[in-house]
Amino acid sequence: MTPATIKIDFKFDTVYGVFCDALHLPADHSYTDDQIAAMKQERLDNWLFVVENPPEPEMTEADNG
Amino acid sequence: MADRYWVGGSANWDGLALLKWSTSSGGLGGASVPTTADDVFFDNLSTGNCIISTGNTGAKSINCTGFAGTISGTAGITVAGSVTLVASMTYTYSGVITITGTGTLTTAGKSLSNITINGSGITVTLGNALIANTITLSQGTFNANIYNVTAARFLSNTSAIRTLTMGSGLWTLSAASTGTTLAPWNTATTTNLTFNKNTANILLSNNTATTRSFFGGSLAYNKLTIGGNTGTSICRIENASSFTELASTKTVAHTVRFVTSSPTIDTWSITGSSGNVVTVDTVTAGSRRTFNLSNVTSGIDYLSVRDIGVNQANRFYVGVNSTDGGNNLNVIFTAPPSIGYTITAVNGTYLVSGQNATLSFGRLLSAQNGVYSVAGQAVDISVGAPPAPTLGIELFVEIRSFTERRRF
Repeated sequence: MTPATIKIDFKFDTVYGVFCDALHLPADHSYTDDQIAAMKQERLDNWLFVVENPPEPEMTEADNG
Repeated sequence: MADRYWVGGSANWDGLALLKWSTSSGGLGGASVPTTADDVFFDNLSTGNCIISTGNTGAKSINCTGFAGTISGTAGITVAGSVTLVASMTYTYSGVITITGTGTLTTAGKSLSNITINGSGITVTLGNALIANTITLSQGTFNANIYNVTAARFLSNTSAIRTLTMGSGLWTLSAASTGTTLAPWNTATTTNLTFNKNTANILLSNNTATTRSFFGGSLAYNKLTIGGNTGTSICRIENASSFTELASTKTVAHTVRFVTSSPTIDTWSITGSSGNVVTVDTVTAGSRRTFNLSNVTSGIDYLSVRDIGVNQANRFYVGVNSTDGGNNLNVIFTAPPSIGYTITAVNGTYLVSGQNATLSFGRLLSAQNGVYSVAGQAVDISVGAPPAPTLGIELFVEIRSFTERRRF
């Protein structure tokens, strides 16, 4: 049985463009607004880290410039 | 079709049932190993580290709502529907997830490895922003919805029937390669591909000096931005793609290389700066590549241009500090000319540079280059825009309001 959830869309403006994401929370959650804001911020921070620290490029194919 | 709950603690998800699966949440183990006909749950009564291993027979869906344990492993898995991860879980799985059924991909900020969408007539829709390594659309529909997509690369270079709906999010692609399977984008084969550019922007974010290719096929994209602040790299535009805007946010010298002719660019906004020249060229010196340019450039400078042709005259102004590397066509090494407009205003609503300006009967608006405020609205009359086809434009519509602007 799939638990009921609610979806909260959110977005942040960043130097790289707009970050658009969503939180999926249990329908009966008891998170406060501050806690939800912290979750959103965590998602943003996580995304910024990935954007700013991408994995090293794979180089198994020839670079033909 | 049945439900399977993980009750195996820390163990391999492989072909052995043992006591790892239950038919109910927290129930007794001993149920059969799930298949692509079964919904799999990791919930608040599931614990430990489930290691996805060779021999697993997939799942119809995977739902981790309430799970605080770990999913790891490297073996591939097939899921014939939705995947739902949650923030409370630990996710280190690095295998390939092959999605073969319609569903929603909800990843709760977890970084996925490789995802392949491969099912006839299926639709995979994002439930939130997606972070992954390689996203491959082999068959079916991928709908990014309104969310960001962050990956090393996106590949859909097959002839199977497929649809890509870009959505409205930002696609940040970090790969840097010219290889067809390693480049940040490859949709070179557009056979049987329905492409919806929507309002999504693509950002090539790699910040190394490695050359990267955009195999866009003959598709029409929204905005493509060459990003990655550092890295004196080459970005190759491999195909005759169309772009609403071609931009760069790099702050160092770099190169934009046109491999084939006939891309179409509505707005060119790539410019260099003093000490950071942007080279615009082709693969082979002496071999010109041409593109279509819809709008007159403005504010462009410090380019080094070689073997570039623009099919339209008087549009590609590249500034006085740009250099001519030779064999160019319709590349103008000056700033665009300043052109003033005289608009004889009568009653009506005017559309000027995309914005409505309401003027009063009989008023004369003598516009010079610059940004004007008219009736409370900014009217951008851009420097260097081509001469208006007619002066004294009159549009008789309704009278709205008038605000005297003495600066005119």
